[in-house]
Amino acid sequence: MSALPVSVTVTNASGLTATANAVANVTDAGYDNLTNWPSTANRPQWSNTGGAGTLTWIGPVAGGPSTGNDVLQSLALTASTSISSTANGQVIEGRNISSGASITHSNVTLRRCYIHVGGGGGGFVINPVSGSNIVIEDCFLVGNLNGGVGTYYGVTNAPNLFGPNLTVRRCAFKGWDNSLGSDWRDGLVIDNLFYGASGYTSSSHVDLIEVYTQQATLPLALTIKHNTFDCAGPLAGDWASGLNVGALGRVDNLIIDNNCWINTANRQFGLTYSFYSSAPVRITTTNNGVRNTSAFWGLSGGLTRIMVAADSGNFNMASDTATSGTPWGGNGRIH
Amino acid sequence: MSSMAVTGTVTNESGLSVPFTGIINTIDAPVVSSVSVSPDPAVAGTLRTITIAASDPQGQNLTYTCNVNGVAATPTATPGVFTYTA
Repeated sequence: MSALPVSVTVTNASGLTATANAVANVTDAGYDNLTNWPSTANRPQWSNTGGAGTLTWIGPVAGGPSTGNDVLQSLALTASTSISSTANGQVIEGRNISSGASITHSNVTLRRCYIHVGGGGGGFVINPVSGSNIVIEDCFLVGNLNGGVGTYYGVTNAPNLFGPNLTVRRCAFKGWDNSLGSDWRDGLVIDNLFYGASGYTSSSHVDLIEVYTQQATLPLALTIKHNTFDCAGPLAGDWASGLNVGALGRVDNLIIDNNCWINTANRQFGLTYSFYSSAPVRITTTNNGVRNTSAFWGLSGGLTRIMVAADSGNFNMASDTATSGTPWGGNGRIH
Repeated sequence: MSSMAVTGTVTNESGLSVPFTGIINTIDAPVVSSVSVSPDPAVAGTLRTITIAASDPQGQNLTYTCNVNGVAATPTATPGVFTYTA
């Protein structure tokens, strides 16, 4: 650890001054984003430092997948009402976006942005309209800037478009009716924090994530890994689930691994499935931590399929930060 | 502001005198009571907030400067509060 000198001078209106000194200590060790659960302390946050403000986040300096030695970083933002992609491979970063973002190209990365709306809207904010291999990374997305009712969807896919292989990584979602949804087919949701849910009306149905593919012919293949579902609330609306996954068609591979559910007491469900055809459903639910719940998972709506579920290593958490615990149900199996 | 009492006597050639009193007011320098850095410690690249707690005996407005490792920190909209990435 090194110590940086801090010197201050205070001057009054008569020109007289006082001085003082302090130190700012800098540690060399990075942050372990692979082990620690996503939380408000380690996911992106925005601070009002003048202008469009500053975003802070913890991740690799170059972005991309998390490591065990990530770095807390910051970026002064540029104000933007809304954003639209203009080319394949584009990287959009460092924006304070007060309306929304539309992505219509492939291999686009939207990262290091603060995206916020006031709430009460039935629409969505980030819309990967078309293209594939889209990444949303290290962003702070707020759906109820004024703290009341939320906005219907944070990140959604336009109805009837097929999976854009969307990756959502190391983001914080606050104040949404559905942080992510709805008509998704494939992708990766990793290292995110979902919290402070709020319905877009005072009576709407709230899920932190609602993935619901309406495609009867193309399979759902989605990985949801190392996220925190903080099920406190909601601030408005009716709570349904932390994670709600449904499909009309095949579910080839739904992987739910190493996620954390907290504040689930008195919530309807932490995890819900809704499947509507007779095709097999393959689900892998492993190494998830759950705290304070009596009814963690459930089925809803026309379940007629044969479920092929591989479960192991799921555990009860003794605290909100525990990364291991007693096996769920005595054997670590959720289903 | 501190004050000093002034007392004296004025005497004429006839030996008659009259006392007088007065006050000398001294403008004092401001006082810095604390300088805090948050978060501290932190890994390199962290956006820090530096908060200076100071007062002026006369109640005058204060202006602040802050340097970290010889580099000026960024003032915020709040007097006495700066940010710095270190």
